[in-house]
Amino acid sequence: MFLIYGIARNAGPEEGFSLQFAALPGDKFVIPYSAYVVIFTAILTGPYWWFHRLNSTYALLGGIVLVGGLSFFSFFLLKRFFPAGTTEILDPTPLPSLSMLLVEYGCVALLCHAVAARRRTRRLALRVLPAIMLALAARHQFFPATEDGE
Amino acid sequence: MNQGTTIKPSQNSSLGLWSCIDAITLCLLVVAMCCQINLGDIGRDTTAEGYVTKQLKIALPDIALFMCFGWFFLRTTALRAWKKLWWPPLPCWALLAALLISILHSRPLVNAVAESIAGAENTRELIKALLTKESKEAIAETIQFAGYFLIAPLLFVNLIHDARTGTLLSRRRLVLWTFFLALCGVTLLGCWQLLRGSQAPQSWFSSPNAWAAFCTIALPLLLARLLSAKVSTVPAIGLSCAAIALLAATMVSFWALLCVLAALVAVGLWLRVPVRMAAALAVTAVLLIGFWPRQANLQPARQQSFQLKSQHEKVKKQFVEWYVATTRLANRREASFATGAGPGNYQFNIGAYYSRLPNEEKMPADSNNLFLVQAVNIGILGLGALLWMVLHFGQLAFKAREDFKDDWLAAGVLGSMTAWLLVNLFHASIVRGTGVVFAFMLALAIIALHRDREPQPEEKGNSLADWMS
Repeated sequence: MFLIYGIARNAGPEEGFSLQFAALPGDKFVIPYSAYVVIFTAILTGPYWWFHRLNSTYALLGGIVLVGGLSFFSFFLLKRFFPAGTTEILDPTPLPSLSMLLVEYGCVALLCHAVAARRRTRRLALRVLPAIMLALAARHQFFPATEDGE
Repeated sequence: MNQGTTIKPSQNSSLGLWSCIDAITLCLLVVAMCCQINLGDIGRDTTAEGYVTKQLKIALPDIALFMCFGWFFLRTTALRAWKKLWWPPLPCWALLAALLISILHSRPLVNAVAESIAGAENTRELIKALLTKESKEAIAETIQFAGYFLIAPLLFVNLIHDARTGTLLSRRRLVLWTFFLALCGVTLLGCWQLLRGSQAPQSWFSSPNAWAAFCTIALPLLLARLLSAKVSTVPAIGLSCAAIALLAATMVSFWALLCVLAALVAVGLWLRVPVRMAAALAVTAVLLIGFWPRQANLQPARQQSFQLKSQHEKVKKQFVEWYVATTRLANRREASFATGAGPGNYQFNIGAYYSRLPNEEKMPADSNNLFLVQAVNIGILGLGALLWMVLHFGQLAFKAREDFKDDWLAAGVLGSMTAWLLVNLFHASIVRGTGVVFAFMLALAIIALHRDREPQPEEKGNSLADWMS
């Protein structure tokens, strides 16, 4: 599901509601359609993942929070020593993109959690996993990745 | 594991001999993991030529682990006992799956291999071309992770609680004695180096930081034993304080020392240590904080935790690299955010991301932050799998602590795991053999949980021998 989401995110048009940050004047931060879909679906499936406990999801969300925390900590630490700005030494541009990715993949994790809450679905997913790996290998073998798209 | 099957008397002597060899193998592995002796390098040292390339170091604990597994494999096959074994849980396999998916889905790795095999004309050349520097790193890292998180727990659990012959043979006391004696040995070596005027003792480890990380993981387990309620005696308190003082005196990493203190507080809370012990340890900690900056010969090395290497630097490269890793993670066009750049490929993929940020220290890129490195290498899925595994064993240790309140082992394991999680923010400690120590802690979580399978010891006193039970 993570891989499929990654492919969908890159395949779809990157348009939609845009945000502007004070730290990035003149730059519009666009949230892609795939992100809307996954965030709203995660909210809609809330009752499924809220009441079922899965350590794998907690660990993944923990990883997401940890990476986010370390990223912001390092930025604010370095900001004390280097000038920050899009044309300065410390470029804050990656932070909104990374935060968006963390939110999106967090939502994908919650969606997976909702799906895996059922034993039968979980078994099916585990059986399908090797097939996905083979398909990936075939994809890279016959359609090598180019520099512009994933 | 099956229990209750008796062994025929005629088999006893031969089984005793083989069992003895098993015990020796286990002890040798435990001793080997308390060092990081380098047995050789793969790759050329190019420092003299003005640039640095990554070399793969072959450490003694890794070789000992695979040799020990070879023996275990043969013996288990001979006994036809594979079905009687404890097997690593799902999170361990999930981590391996995450590594394999990362290899298959890594764009830099796949592109490098595709480029390399383009000119291959026969099978031999094709196989040679498959082994690019990127794929070699990926293979090495995958083997290393499989060793640490599948093979090592399998080996430790099944050798400590050996049920392959039909009856459960517990080597818990033996293995803990061995570990604590080996810890004493390497600590004394560190102290000897200190007395000989070393400016950065590292005992038998490859660097002072690796030694500090090892101490951080090992000390909570040792103190959990010494501080457990049954042995709250004056010698135990004295030994605890001495252990803290000796290990801290040989450590140069300030970050590791902070992690040790945090983990010790955690152990104290989990063990619910008596007030007089807590007071004695608090006094030791205060004295330690007071005396630590006064070790004159270690000052230069210790100041490197903060001090900058040149006048042009404004902040330690380690922290600059945390943000560099962040920048790399945000660039999903270069590699998938979910599956990363490929195991072991961090250093090949990070250089370009320094961009305008300074990169003065011409050393191989390494943030020393395990979590950021793994997030770049195996993606957020791989990092999630790694944390899931730690969480799973942590929960088992916690359950063991709840189920067997008189047993100190679970509290020690929880303390060591806490220390591991903290120290990995500053010194990645699943490299070159240090991962075996963490795998040992994971295995001890299972051993603590299976406490009821062991023969219960007789009434204990407060003698030194009782401490290791």
